[in-house]
Amino acid sequence: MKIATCPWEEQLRKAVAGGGPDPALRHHARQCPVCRDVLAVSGWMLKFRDLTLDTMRAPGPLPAPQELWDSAQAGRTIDLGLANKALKPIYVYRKIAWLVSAVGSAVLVLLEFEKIKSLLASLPGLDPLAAFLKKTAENGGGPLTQAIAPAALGLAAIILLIIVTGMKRGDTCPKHFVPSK
Amino acid sequence: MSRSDDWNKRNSFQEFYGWVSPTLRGYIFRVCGDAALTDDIFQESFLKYLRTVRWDMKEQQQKAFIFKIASRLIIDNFRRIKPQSLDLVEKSGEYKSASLGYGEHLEPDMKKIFTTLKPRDRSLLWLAYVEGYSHGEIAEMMGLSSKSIKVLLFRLRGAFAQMLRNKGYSPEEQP
Repeated sequence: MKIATCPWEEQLRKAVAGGGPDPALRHHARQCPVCRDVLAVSGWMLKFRDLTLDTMRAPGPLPAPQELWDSAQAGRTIDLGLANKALKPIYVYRKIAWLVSAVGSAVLVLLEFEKIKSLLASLPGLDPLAAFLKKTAENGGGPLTQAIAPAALGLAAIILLIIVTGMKRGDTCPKHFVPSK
Repeated sequence: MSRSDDWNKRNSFQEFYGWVSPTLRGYIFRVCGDAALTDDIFQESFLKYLRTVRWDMKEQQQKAFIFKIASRLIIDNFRRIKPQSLDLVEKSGEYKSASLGYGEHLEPDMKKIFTTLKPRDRSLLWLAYVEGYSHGEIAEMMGLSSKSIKVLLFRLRGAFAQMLRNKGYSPEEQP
């Protein structure tokens, strides 16, 4: 499709929108078919704009600029709901990380049970525990029972650690954000 | 930000608002065709403008900037929901014209013609022929290429002029 253009078209549109073209430009518009159309459409559109503004004056005044200014200023503070929503994945992944660590530690305890048992036996002050394990084994408890007891103790220690650190984090991580100035 | 700086910006915004707001509201209304939606987009445009404007820009650039924000909001809105006909505004009884004479006929005729156009085309016509923006400026506002704007405006201008001439309007009739 061939497009009829005129180098003065943009200037003419700008001039008409700005109040009216100078005589030279108006003279050119009378000669040029493209600019004649531009002038006609601009004239109709500007009349339509004036009628639209007259029509819209009736229903109610525009919002006060001060009101918009204040709203924009208020909007600059962080929206707590949005901030929490944005941070939610981090909280979720942090919980997952703790869970994976706990399960991993429990598995490690089970796998390295023999080493842990000998370590516990070598530690001073843990004789009652070693005696308990020995007694359990002698009383017919199989290797599974021997494994469960220290694993349960280890898991309890990990859970306690999670609870304590979680409580501490709750103290230091505020629920509401204070926007920095 | 110092207190006097804040005060200057506030005053400059008040002046800018007084200058731009009527025509911006008219533009949004003619493209959207719904009074309530117009007010929402109008307010949202100014809030976005106030949060992102660079105060060292010239007034004309600031005006182009807020028209760009409004245009993008209108486009986003039309992508979310189906555009409403301009006739709905008439049925709702809002923004009724009190004009007489030449405009008495022109306004409803123009409204009818506008209704038949796509919202994007309404925007293009207004930005080009009411605000007088260049192809490049309109391209920046609408997120299209300057070449596309040139072609679209050429087609629109021809079709629009033809529709008005078919309704009996001639350029000479304009006051």
